[in-house]
Amino acid sequence: MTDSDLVELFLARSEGAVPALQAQYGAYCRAVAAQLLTDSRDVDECLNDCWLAVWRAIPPARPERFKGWLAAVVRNRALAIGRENSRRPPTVEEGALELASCLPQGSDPLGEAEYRALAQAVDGFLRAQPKEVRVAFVRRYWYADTVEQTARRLGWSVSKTKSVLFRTRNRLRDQLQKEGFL
Amino acid sequence: MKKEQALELMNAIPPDLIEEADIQAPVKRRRPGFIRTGLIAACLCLALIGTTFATVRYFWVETYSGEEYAGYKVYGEFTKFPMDRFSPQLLADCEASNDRNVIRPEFDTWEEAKAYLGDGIPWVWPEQTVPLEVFQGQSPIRLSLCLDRDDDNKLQSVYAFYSARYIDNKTGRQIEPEIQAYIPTEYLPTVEDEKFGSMGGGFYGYSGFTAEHLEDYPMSNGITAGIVRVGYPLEKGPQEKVTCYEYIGIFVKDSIRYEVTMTTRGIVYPDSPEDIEADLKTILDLFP
Repeated sequence: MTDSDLVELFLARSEGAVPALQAQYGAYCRAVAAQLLTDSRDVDECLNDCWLAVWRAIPPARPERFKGWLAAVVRNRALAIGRENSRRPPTVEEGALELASCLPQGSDPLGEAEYRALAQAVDGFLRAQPKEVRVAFVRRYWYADTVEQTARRLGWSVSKTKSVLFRTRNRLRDQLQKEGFL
Repeated sequence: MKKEQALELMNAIPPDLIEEADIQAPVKRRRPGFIRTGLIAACLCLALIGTTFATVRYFWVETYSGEEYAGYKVYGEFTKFPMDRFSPQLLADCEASNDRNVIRPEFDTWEEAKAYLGDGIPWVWPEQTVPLEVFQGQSPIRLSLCLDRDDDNKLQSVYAFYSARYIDNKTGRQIEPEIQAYIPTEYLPTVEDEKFGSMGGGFYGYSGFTAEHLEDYPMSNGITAGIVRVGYPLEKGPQEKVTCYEYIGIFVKDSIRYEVTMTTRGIVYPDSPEDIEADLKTILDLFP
């Protein structure tokens, strides 16, 4: 079943929409959630919430890149559950700390306009990187893979992966400095 | 920026980049059936011929550091492996490849990896002994075949990678080495008149990195390993930097260069450098 077919099921309010979604992307969504949550019961709760969230979102939403959109729904919910229950794998904290050090300092939350501008800058930066570097960055800081997991996915050594991530964070910081965010 | 804000900012990564990063790890390679026949023949040949490789009589490690770089090099008098020492399957894969260094097969066991490499290659791995036990699994053994595309896909060298988590039941410590082996072939270029060739090393082209040759360690198998420490800065938070270290034990056995790397585990679970160096020596002493 293609992603378009899946979206059509939701648009048609078909009873088979959620079972089809679970069959197509259940394992992938579980893998995304499991990286961000320590307890398997939290993972189950996250996925159940997400199936309902997708049902409610489509329509009116018609995501063009359904898999990526779905993964973001799962990630957001998993982060929220982890925050509520104060239960998160250490790798999530480690990755966030690494990343926070090259982003604008200051404890006040970002305003909407500032957030959008910063997000756009980060997106532009990532698209300018070689694909493997971009994949390493997204695996570590979006999917919350450990450095070892990231290395394995890319077929790299751990030391090379650490070096690439370190260098990429430095370049991101330099770019944000040039654009006036730091 | 606080951690939570950093996590939220990553929400802005668009769906196409999220999908692009959903890649699979390199496919595991299973030993095909026909190699078994070849293996029996190779074993008989090896028994008749014995090893024809001179062990490296002498090798040493040099480190260097500058403002924008640091690294180490291993030098020695070593023998390069002729092609007929490698397995027919490996050679066939090299010939069939249409891109440099794209062949990265994986294996679940040392025995499978060695069979693919070729029984004529004297590659060894750490023997597991009590009280050290594998804990939470180990990575597959990854081989990386480096081809020279200008010369009809001739194999210049082979890298083997492996990482594991052990637990020392005596001390309760988790030990996580990364082990690499570097195997030079007859097609590896040599500088003319260079008696002691470079056997490679590590290079870090970033400012703030340092490399020091700490000591020469006598392993249980009689070989002396050079222990190098690479330091690099890591930002723990605003205005706060820590230095992380990699301890690398380097030795050469039967013309194969081995590197065992142990790393301090970063900012959340810092390890004492003394413990990491002791763990490194524990792993070095497992090599036959």
